[in-house]
Amino acid sequence: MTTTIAEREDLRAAIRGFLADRLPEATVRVLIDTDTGFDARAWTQLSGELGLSGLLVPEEHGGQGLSTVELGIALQESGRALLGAPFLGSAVLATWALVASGDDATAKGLLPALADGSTVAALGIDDDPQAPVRAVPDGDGWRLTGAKRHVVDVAAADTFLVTAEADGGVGLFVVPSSGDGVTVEQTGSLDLTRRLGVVRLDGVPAQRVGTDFAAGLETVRELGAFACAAEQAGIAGRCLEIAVEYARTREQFGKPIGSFQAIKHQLAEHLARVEQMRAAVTAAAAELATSPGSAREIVSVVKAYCGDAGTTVAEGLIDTLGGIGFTWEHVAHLYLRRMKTLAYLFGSPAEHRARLAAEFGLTG
Amino acid sequence: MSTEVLDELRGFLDEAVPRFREQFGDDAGWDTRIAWQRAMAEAGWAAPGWAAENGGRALPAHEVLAIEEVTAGYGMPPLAGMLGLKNVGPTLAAWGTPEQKQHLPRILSTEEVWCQGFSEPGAGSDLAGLRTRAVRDGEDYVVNGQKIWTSNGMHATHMELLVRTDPDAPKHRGISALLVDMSTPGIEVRPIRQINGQAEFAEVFFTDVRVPVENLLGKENDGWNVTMTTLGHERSGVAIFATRFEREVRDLIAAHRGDDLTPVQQDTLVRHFIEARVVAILGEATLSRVAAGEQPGSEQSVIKLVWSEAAQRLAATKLDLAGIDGVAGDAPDAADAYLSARAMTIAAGTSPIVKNILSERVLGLPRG
Ligand SMILES: Cc1cc2nc3c(=O)[nH]c(=O)nc-3n(C[C@H](O)[C@H](O)[C@H](O)COP(=O)(O)OP(=O)(O)OC[C@H]3O[C@@H](n4cnc5c(N)ncnc54)[C@H](O)[C@@H]3O)c2cc1C
Repeated sequence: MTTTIAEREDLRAAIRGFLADRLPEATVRVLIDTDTGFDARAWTQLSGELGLSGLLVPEEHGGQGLSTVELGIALQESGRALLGAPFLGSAVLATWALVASGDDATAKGLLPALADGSTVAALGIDDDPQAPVRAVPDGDGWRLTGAKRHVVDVAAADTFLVTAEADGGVGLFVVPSSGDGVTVEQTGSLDLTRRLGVVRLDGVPAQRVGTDFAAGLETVRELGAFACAAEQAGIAGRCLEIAVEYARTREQFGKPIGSFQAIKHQLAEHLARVEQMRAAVTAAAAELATSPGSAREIVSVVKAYCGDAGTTVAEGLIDTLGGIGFTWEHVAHLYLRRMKTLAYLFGSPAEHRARLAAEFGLTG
Repeated sequence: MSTEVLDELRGFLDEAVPRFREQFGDDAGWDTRIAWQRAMAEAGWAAPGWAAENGGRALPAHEVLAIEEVTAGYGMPPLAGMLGLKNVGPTLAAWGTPEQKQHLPRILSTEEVWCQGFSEPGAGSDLAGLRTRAVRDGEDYVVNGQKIWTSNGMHATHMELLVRTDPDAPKHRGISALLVDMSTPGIEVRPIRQINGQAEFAEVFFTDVRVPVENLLGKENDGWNVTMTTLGHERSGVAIFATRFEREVRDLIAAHRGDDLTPVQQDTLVRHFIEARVVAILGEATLSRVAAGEQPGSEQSVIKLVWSEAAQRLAATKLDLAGIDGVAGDAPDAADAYLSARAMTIAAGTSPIVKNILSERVLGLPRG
């Protein structure tokens, strides 16, 4: 399904309105201290009323069948609101892995439940180097042993999709989180608003999805990198708003600090960064939607750019605020933490620059 | 856009460029640029964005860009009368009387070369503080004062001149724009040598220069609005610079493919690419908004700020890649480009001025 510009703006406004109303900063703060870090009822509503969980799910499987263009908008809003629900982990990464697997039977079974939010899945693709996940055939199915790290939205998931070497290639497998031999461990992420963790598997029965997943994994990684950058653009936009609002009202030396040129010029530079982040995300979204095969370059550009520029904007918010910006009570650190964590998920700026250098033939 | 237009352009260039080179070689001096503009104008390519009645093709901005991109691929020198084609011409088209619009075909043909007499020794960033006076005397204005940093001042036959016509009004409301023939008695042009050794700009002195009243562009004391039109066209040019900048970086990277670069040099080139790609994306977005009939927003100021500083860093990197040869006289192009790039954050609004504009007009922060 394709949308008009007006429909995209409606989508943005609907998500922004819902999140401001249902999950304002005060609620985000409460959720940080809960076990799973998210409000399951709010996620159900986001899934039902706004269709966020099914945004990428094809229409024949009960979703909205939208593209990276609309996804980019939704992610900017989720970043802006510090959304703790499993949007990235389940609705983006796990959902796209299933779609990319090309396994219609499994998709038919799982995607409708992912689309309506009744199932929450998380995707494990980073092996623990000490214990890479191995798949061993077992009757009609497989058994998995090993550990996956950096699993996004690990605490919310009832289902894991994990990759493992199988038949000399890469396989994708489904594992219920409640199965025997599955242990989930949250790791203390810098980002307090999104749970990352380790999934350990000890001879866990698993069902294989599709055949070789090497190409699918590649597209999921590209989408993941794009998704991080899109969230960062949303976070940066909000950081700039907060900084500008404060600069207009906070007075020192008898005038608003926003009348001091040192502050103004920093904020003008942040504005330039925010506009560029948004434009780059929009361009990457369009390219991924229309010609995903040739989007590697733009994905690395946007991931590297947003990682660095976004971090500078979030740091700049704390600079503008002064002492209050260094307090736990102020929201600034929550944004900086989320921004900085996203910079490292799906390839850091340095890793994406190295990838570009290699693709340009500069690395000899 | 219709590929026919670009096919026609390529057809023309494929034939005209070799013929031109045979006569002029690699020279990119003023006379060569004049000759090249003439050739382009005769074939209808010098100002494809201009209205048809003024000698253009009435093409929208993004199609003009595509034409410029194709043309740039042939490595020809820039057209001579760029300021007339890009800034003054569109201002005349917007504000000029039918008689004043008679200049337009002459700007195309190079019969007239225009410059912009805005800055003064005492009025640069604070342009509205300009003091060159014009006093009405019968059917003439009598102009006294001085302009400075006038690009192409030595070559120009005409000037869009900003003067103060009402010294008592608030500074933005006492300015008028005059169209001045540079051969008028009382005008003296002196070249100013730049840091790169060339003299592309000049200072211009006016002593009792009589300018006919019919050469007033726009209304008397409404010159600031005329100025904004000219500066608006100057600024919209940056969207095109931004897209061209990306190509420059891609070319540089291609030229160093397979070289024995250090990891730091490799990373530096990739950082340049990322900067260039992102600012080009903003440029493309601006051009397509303009093409869709929308007013460009703050993007142009953002592009000016980011592109100018990124282009300076790129020029420094190019010099750096030349190593000591770059400064020891063995790579004069890199050294010249490095020096020339310093102008980018000064001309058409310094970086601090652009940041003032962004912070006050876009972010709504109070004036200092
Ligand atoms: C290559 C080149 C070509 C040019 N061509 C033309 C031309 O064809 N026609 C023409 O009319 N002009 C031309 N100019 C002039 C150009 O527009 C001015 O140089 C420019 O606007 C700056 O003015 P200024 O040189 O008087 O510097 P100033 O305005 O004196 O600025 C000096 C320094 O003070 C800073 N500054 C000034 N005001 C502020 C402020 N409010 N806040 C913070 N910092 C401030 C500036 O950023 C700069 O760093 C050209 C300049 C160059 C370099």
